[in-house]
Amino acid sequence: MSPLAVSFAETGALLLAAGAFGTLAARRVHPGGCRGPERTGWGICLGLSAVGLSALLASLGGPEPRWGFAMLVVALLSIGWFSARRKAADAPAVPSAQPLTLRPAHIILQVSIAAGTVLYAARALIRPMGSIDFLAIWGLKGRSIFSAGAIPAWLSNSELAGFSHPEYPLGLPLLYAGIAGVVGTWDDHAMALLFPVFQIATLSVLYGWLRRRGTERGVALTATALLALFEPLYSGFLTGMADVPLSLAMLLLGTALSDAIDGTDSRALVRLALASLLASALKNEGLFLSGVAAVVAILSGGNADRARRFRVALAAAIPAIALTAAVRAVRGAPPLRDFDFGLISPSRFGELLGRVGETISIDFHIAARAWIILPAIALLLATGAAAPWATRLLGLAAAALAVYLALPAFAVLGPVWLAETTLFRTAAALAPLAAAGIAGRFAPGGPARDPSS
Amino acid sequence: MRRFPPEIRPNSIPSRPRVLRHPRRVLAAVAAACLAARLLARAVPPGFADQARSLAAAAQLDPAARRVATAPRRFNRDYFVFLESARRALPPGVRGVALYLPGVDESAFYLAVYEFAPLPVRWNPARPDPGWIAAIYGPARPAGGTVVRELPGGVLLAPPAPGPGDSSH
Repeated sequence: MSPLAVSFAETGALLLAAGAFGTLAARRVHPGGCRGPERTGWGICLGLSAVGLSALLASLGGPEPRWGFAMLVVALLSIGWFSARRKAADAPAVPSAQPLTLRPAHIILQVSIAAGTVLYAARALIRPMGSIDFLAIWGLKGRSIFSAGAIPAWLSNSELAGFSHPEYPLGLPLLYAGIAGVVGTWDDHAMALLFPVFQIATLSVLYGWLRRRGTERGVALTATALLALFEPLYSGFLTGMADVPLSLAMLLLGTALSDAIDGTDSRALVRLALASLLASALKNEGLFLSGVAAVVAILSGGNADRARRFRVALAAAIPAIALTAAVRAVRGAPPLRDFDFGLISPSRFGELLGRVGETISIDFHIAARAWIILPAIALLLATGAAAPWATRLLGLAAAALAVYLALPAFAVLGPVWLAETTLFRTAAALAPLAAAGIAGRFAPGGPARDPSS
Repeated sequence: MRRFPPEIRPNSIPSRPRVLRHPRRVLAAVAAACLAARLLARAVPPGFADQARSLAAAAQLDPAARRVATAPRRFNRDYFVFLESARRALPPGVRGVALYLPGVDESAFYLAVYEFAPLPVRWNPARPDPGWIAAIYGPARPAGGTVVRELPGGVLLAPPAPGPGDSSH
């Protein structure tokens, strides 16, 4: 075998093991039978979180990542085993699986999903990860943590490492360091396998959740196929950066929020808290979205009573706030160096107005590049019917998009620079949330269903 | 009860085609098809076949050499060879790298920062910090300092020890 094949096999085996162990533990956070794509998606996240945690433990003076990972796997398996025993004792009401009838259109859609994942894997693995943001931010921090066996203090030093954004969360770098630590070497090519795995987890959660909430198989498959083919997010350029994992975390957050508000099951609040933690650990946008989720929970009407809405808001907000506070207590609170919020002061109102005009202009200019994608999405939105459980996800996506569109006005290097470098990719990361929200508008509104059906 | 002739009985009136009974679904399907067509058009990036051939040829190389072999053509391979050589030649105990590059190229600096991790890197500082080493890319050889290693395309230089009362910054 070539060194490349060996590296890919080692990293692939680790990711497979992490996903498998995580899926077993996911019984704890997901009700129903032991099957289901949604649970697999959650399981992959739990397993990868264990890999990242192993690097965090090692950086704090704990065992080496491979031993830390082994310990965490045992913990995950124990959780899954305990959950399985408890479920057996509780005699779960798992509805019998409905007969699987596949139409030709369904088969075409499934082939499209498979093609989307294969094409993304090809784009992601064609060369080592090497975008500027990977080299200067995510890869730099991951490689530093792996090589030093700790989180180097200089990474928090704005004078030495300001370009790498010390204010960014360390979730993805810790995951990189964990993979390298368990495998035993830093290989930024084989590590790119992580990204197709993120995509598979995202597609699994999207399809499983839509089916569980009553969406027809054809609609769920269509949404999943379109997302699988969504190259603006699943591109070679974004491979290595935090947008792809963040898009998964945001989908987990949105689906768990909607479940928690509707009270679909007893574990929805746990899932919401976990998703809030994951999103906040990946990017500051995740922290923001957790806050928006808390606001959505409080403002949501429907059947949720006030006390439950408050509990849901707390489940969304507390993990994100606690994680951010803990990190800031340890690493300090570096400023958001890309933004100048002093523009809000009355003395600079004129300057801000000029920047707002410039921002609107560049936003339209960038939106025009998506000349087929945006009208098609608008048409899909218009042809669906209102469904509160899906609209919540669209609300989260719309809030994030509004902020992404407005933020360039405050960019230190000017609106054009920030919009050109970030707007398209950060907006693309909202695709899973939007896909779930739009597809939900085509659901008949039936009762929640088990993912295994 | 009214009687219809056989040819216009209600149950014999041809129903509307199925697609017309669900116009919203038809519109949604059209939108989804347009979206899929647009996304499929972007599915394979230009130059993908060349990249695949480069990757197949580089499969036997170690990760660092593979990065050079599969890099885009605009990539400065000489600079990468210099960085990789410098990284392997760093003496133990070095606390950071002062990188001296001719010209201004942020991406070259970011590549260096990544290559030298976990050591911090400064870009063209007035003088290296205590305990740091100078990595100089290009033919320039500043006076003073000790050559640690001549490298392809540059040199690793240990700066002179600061004199009494000499400030490092």
